Amino acid sequence: RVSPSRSRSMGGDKNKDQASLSAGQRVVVLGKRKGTVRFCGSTDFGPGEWVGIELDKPTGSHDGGAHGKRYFTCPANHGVYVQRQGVLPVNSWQAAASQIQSMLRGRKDRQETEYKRAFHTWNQMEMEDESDYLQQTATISRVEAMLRTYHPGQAGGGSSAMALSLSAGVSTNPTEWGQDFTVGPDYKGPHVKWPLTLDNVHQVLHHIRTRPDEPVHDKYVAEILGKGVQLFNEMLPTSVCDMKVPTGEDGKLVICGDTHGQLADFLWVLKQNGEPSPTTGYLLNGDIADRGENACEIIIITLMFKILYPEMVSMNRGNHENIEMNRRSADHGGGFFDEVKSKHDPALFMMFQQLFEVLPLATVLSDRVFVVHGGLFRRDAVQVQHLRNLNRRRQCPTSTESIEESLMFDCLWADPWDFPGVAKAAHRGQNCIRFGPDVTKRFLGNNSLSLCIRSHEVPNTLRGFEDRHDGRLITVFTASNYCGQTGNFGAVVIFHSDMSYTVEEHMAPPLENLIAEYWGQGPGETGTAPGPQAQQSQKNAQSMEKSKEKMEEDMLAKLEAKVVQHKDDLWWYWAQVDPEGTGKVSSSLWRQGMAAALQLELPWFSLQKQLVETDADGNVNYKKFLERAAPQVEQGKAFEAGWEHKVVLKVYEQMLRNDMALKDVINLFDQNGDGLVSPWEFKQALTAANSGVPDAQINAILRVIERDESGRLDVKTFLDRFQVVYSQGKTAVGAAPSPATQQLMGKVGKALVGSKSRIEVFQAIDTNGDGYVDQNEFFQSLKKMKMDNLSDAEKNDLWKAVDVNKDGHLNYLEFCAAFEVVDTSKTSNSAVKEIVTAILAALQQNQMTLGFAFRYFDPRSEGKVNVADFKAGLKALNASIQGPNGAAGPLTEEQLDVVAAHVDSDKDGMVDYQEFLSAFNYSKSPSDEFRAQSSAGR
Amino acid sequence: MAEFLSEEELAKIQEAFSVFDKKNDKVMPAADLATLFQALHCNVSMEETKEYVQVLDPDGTGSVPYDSLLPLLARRMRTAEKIDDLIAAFQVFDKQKRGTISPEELRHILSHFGEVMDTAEIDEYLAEADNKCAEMKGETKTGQINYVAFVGVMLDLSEDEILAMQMSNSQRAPSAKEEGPA
Repeated sequence: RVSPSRSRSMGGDKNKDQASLSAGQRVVVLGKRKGTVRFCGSTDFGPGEWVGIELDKPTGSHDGGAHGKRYFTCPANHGVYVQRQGVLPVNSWQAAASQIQSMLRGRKDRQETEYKRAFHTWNQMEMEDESDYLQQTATISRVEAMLRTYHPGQAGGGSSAMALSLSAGVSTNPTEWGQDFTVGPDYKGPHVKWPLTLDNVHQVLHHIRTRPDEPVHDKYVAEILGKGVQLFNEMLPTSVCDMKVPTGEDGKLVICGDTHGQLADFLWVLKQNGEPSPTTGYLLNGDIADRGENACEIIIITLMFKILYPEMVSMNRGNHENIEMNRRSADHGGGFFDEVKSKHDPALFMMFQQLFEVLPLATVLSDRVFVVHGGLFRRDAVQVQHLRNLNRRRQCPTSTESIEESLMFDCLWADPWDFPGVAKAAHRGQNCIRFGPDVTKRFLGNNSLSLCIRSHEVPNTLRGFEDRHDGRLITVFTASNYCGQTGNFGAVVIFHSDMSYTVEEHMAPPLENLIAEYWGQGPGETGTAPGPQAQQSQKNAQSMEKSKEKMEEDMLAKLEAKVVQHKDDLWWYWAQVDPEGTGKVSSSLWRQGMAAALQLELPWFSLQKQLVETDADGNVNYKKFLERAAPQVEQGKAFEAGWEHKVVLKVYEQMLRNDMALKDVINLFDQNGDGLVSPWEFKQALTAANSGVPDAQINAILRVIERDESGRLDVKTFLDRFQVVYSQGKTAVGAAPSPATQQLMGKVGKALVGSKSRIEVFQAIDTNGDGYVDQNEFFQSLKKMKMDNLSDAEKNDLWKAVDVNKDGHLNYLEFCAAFEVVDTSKTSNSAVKEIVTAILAALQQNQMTLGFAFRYFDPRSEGKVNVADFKAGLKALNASIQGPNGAAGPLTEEQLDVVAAHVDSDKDGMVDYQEFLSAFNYSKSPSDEFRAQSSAGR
Repeated sequence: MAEFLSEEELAKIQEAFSVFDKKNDKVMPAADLATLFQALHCNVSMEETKEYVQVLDPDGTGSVPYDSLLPLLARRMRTAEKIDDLIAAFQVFDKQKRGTISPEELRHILSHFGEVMDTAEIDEYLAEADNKCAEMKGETKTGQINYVAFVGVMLDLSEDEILAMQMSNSQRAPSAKEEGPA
């Protein structure tokens, strides 16, 4: 349909647009707003022809009077004055085109905004991993104290890598490292000979650049680590390193921020800036370990060059150069332990840890620039001299009470912000601080320094570099497209010999492309390597959309875990503002509840659309939302099937055991005697009756209890739902007993369950302890159960029913085991689900602490502990996370036994705790149920 | 002005604003104003943005405070173009109301009129239009773009919503159904 004539007419239209205007003519202003011309001519506002327009909609800025002048009058906010060229006749092609263009550009802007928002949210959730880490380190010290009383003499996490190495049987003498390994004939990788030569380093570098998946031999890695540790030891009597920018015209020093195992970025930086040499220095500013897959290789390359040019190469310690952090899974912010384990002998992990503890906490560059991983200090008047004298041969402190501890902590963890002073940084969790521009200014001034360089976070701008605190503080982050999803640039800061600096930003191509492109050989060669443009990453809409989706997946998975963790709080918050128990709250209450319970400042308005359906009245069904949130646990790994049922039975038993006590307490609340109490009174009653049921499990039950219209619950109905049944399967051979007898059995069962230990009832009577009682003894036991009001006939009926094989003896062990408490209510299934959820969530939340507790009994990290130690670990965790009112941890003692019995699946007395723990890893994406159901049509 | 906003609208604005409020001090860069307006579906032209910047940051400090931005933004959100206005803009080039436009035509319009776009930018949009909004005749593409669907895609509407849009649009202009020459 496009014809030459039509094109020509377009040109014609364009000329017409510039024709003169007259009052009353319909026009479009500044591209899009429609209105009517009211004035046309010269004004006092400026040179040229001006047009006064009354707009159709109130999108103007006045009523014809502007800057003290008036050339026409119209309703308020409808008037504008525009220069002639900004006005077009209505329906002109110009106007229509501009409208379409605005729409198209608008979409791009929206995508960009959403991408940024997704990153901010993702970043915040990632900080939550670190916050969680810090929180658990506090729990760990409590657990450690408890375990010490149980089993003294084991090394703990509070000690140094050296102490941990000793108890793991790893040498702490770096000159010996590597002696225990021999290189076999089938090793195809590079060899390392001492003293090290540049050629040899190039061989290893070449190997890593071409075959990063084939690890360098354990022996060589151990030797390199050993030499590295010796060097840092010898060169650094104190905890701060001094480096000089090389002199000479081409002298420079390259500072890398977090690399996080992203080998592609490190190799890219080496390629762009040249490898370390007498004229090119390198300083890696911490967080080399964790998350990415190749931290080992980055460290090996760096150490080899350090061995060649000791003064030219160094590393600072970061908060990820820490043993418990490294032991977390990559999805929880760790990953280095898993990396080393997959490539090398486990002993090497401890050697890496010993290296981390000799790395300096900060570096001073040519007496001018302070380089530190995290940031500056909560304490005022800190001198570099103070830092020099910190003891760095230890794990990062978990408390910040003493000056010494706080200084080391802040070096590794602090973040800057733009307000004066120091504040607790809620985003990274307990003990972390943010420091303001005044802090930076004072610190630099006090120490005659001019600049601070730090790393530790991806700048919010998604660049690899950020300049803050009036240019006194630079953040540099080297891992581009961090975690393969954020799409951020990486950067390095390069100091030149005259102490001027430049910043190089980059977007590293994926490792395989990089290898194929630059060091291409071997299998990668056939692939079509993208040209260098690939690094430019002109972020088009598609790639932006892709990283946005990846970040959202990851973020939602983490958010789901958070919701599960805070289910009780969320439920409590919403239930208070929903007294009738409709299960619904308004959108804004939903958002406020999320913010309050999760203590996260996230874009809840946007997240709402992704997480919940909103009905026509703007309400959200929070009950459904919470029901959908369940921990994603690979149950097969953690437990044998059937454990849930048994664990929940223990709660019911406890409820039943407390039957009487509960009724008494509830009478106190139930003023009018109608048997109805509020859920909160009920909870208080359970606590007061000392039921021993953990809080989280009480809450789980409360969530599913049926309530009347006023939101109150009927206690009697509730307690009656738990019935004791006699399962014949285990003992019976003959016909089923009569209903009357069955009822009697029910009573006996209830009495048995109600007593502290079922077996004890008989044990006193069974004097020879063989597990059998006769008829007489059985009748005596009934008395003990306070069932002496039975008639003789009833007693005889009972005896007939229980003495199934008619041999005059009752195997009471089997008899006791045959009684089960069941929840007969309609909601029993959801009750089981909620209770199990509460238990799994608690275990998942404390995965890291549990790992610590189990490893306490397994210093050589073999991955197994015996059942007794496994229970001791769980018990210590249970006790260490007790609530303030002494409420028990996630599990009751009896439930602990059930869990322990179900994790030793092959019954050899040992538990594979690694597998148990790995079941609790977060998955990479949220469960299908967690997302709002309606989002499918998004 | 804020009292005319519903709680939901206010939450939406605040959240969008906070994306640009890097220091979290209720101030945003003037340079990001266009993006913010667009993020809130205001459909502003570059010229309009310039005017807003002049009003909100008369001294050229480079930053705009939330409090003075809010009333303007709220007013603009109220008066932003509706879907029908955008369809009408395409109809300016489609006198017979066929509901379609050829890629060549659209390219010409975008590169010669209004606030012109460069080739690379246009290519991206045309590719998407061909992908998602091609006018079909049976199973084959006619080579034309269905611009009603295109507006829907550009506004990030769901497939169902776009379908409903097309239905209501064809009802309003039954003449658009006329067949091309055999």
